[in-house]
Amino acid sequence: MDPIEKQTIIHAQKGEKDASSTLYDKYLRKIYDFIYYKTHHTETAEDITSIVFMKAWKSIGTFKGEYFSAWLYCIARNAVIDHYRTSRAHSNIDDAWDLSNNEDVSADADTKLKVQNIQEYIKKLSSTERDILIMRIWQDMPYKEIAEIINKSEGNCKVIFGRTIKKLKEQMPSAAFMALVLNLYG
Amino acid sequence: MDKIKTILEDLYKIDPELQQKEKELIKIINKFLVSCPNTKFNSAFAIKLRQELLGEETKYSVWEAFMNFMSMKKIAYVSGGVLIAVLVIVPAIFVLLNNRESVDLSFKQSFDSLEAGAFGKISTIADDSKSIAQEATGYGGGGQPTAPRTLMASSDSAEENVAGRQSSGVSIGMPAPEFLNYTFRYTGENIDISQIDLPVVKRNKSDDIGKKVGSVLGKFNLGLINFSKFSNLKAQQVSLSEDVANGYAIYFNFEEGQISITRNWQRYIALYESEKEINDFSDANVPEDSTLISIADKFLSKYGINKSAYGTPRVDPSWQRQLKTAKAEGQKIYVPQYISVIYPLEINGVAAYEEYGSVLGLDVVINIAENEVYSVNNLYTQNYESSTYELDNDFTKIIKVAEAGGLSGLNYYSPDSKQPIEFELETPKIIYIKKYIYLKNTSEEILVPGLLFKVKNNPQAGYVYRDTVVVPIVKEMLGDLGKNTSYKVQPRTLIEPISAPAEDR
Repeated sequence: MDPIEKQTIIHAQKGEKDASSTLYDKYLRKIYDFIYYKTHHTETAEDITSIVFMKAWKSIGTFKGEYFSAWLYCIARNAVIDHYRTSRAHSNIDDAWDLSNNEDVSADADTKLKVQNIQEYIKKLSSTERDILIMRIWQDMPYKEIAEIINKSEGNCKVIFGRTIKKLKEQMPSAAFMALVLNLYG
Repeated sequence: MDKIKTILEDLYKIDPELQQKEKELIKIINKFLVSCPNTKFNSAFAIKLRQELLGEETKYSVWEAFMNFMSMKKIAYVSGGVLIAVLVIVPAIFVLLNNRESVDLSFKQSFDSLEAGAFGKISTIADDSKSIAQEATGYGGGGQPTAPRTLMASSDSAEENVAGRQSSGVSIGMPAPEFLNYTFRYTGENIDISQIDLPVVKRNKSDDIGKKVGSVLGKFNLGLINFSKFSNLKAQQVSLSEDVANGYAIYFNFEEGQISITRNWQRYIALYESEKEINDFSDANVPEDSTLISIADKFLSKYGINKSAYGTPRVDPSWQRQLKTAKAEGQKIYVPQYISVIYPLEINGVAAYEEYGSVLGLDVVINIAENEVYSVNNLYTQNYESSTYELDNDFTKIIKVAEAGGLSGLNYYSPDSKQPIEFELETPKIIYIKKYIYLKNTSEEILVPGLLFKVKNNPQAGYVYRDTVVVPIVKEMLGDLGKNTSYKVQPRTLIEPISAPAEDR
């Protein structure tokens, strides 16, 4: 861990506002974006982000890991799953990608439009595969950090990413595959 | 490019054959990089959550974020309109910064019913009488009403014009108008008005919005000044402008619940050639009424302005009357550059009028040199309170008041006038009339049920300034008028120009 961040976390655990404020400023946007990519809806993303930070700030004293961001992402992933599983009749919904167009009525219209060409293919991936795609491509995160979040080794994480890309290439026509990959990288 | 390179390297690891099509891939990558979903991260949300988590005052950077939010540059363009922007921004300030509370900023009519007589005393008869008496005293004649103040001013002005032109040796002085008295006579049908059942309504100008904006701004410490040290801040108004050529500026008065829009003069570029071009306008330059209405309609529609409280639009005919008068008298024709399209306000479907009988409503002003909207005025929130007041069923009495010109008629009478001209009043229609009352130390606007009598034989040219007579029918407001001898029906004055120049008389 970055030694400066480590010190900041220690100060935050002691209840120092400036330290908490620094961590908040550093991670709010990343966590919000991640949640938005999984919910496609501004207010839902804001609600879940609030829950994540409330939980994190309440239990920051228990954090003892290597990556603070990984810890926050874990809380965020679980919060998204909780949101969908408690508000939907089906227990196998992890995020908005699992919903059909008809079911996902609350999605922001522009986002719905943008992802409509890739929705069909992303939907077929597992929740972990999706999260790796989002974090690696949309959020530009290193494998090491992603590995912490999904609780796997860095090597294993790379394999999953490669396998996911290959799976998509096989499922999709070549043009659609490029659109997907390049869209994800946007 | 680094990101693209990384993407490509990832892909090549999966499928090395793709490397042969690298140029095509780069083009596609560039094309699709801009199509990533926007997560719409909002600074206001960040402020709110920070306050909840850390309980601290907002600092300068947050103020900047707020001001960026308020600048409406992006919001206006994304939303596709100025008014949409203001209607989104202002409530959004609270929705996003202040616990997502709902903000009642309704331009759709709503009515809160209060108990009978809730607005207190609404009669202004005593005030009107006092005002008329003061006017009479000011202009002499032993209390006998004489010429109105406006006429005295125009006489002075006429003398100045004549003196100014004497140096050229050419006398082209305008003839001073003289007064004609005129009277009204009801020639319509007798109608039963006992079935009229309308409440008095008052617009609820709740300044909650201003208070909420003030409470948000009051939390900022700018460094230059610390707003949080001021007590109970309340925003009174906000102005926004489109930072584009020929954009519009919006003014939102929180206290009045009023929005007006006008050209943003800082970025205005005239679309017409010169002032001379405007001065040479003839009536042929003025588009058909249907075209003017269409321009107004398109503007309101484009900017999402709610028209549900308004009736069928009409072009303000006053310029046409002036034109006909000028033509009839051989004067220079003046065609105005700006013409109004009025959308009449309707309270629960009943048309509303000013207390002097002109239509009350949303005013969309069109610059006919550009055939574009110049301004939008009288756009108010439409939340009303309503309260029942006893209405007067005595139609005979109401007719007497109407024949006297209504409650707000100007009772000037010229003893030197020729024989009065008589105008006929048609069968009335039910309307709302705007009145001002003094309530809780402030002047408040109410709308009272009334009747509108159209003047039947009103000439289409000339200086007749009234096409209608309106009479409120709230019993308290009429009192004993029409029966009381102190309220005499007397001839009224009509300004009529004489044919010969003033100095030749």
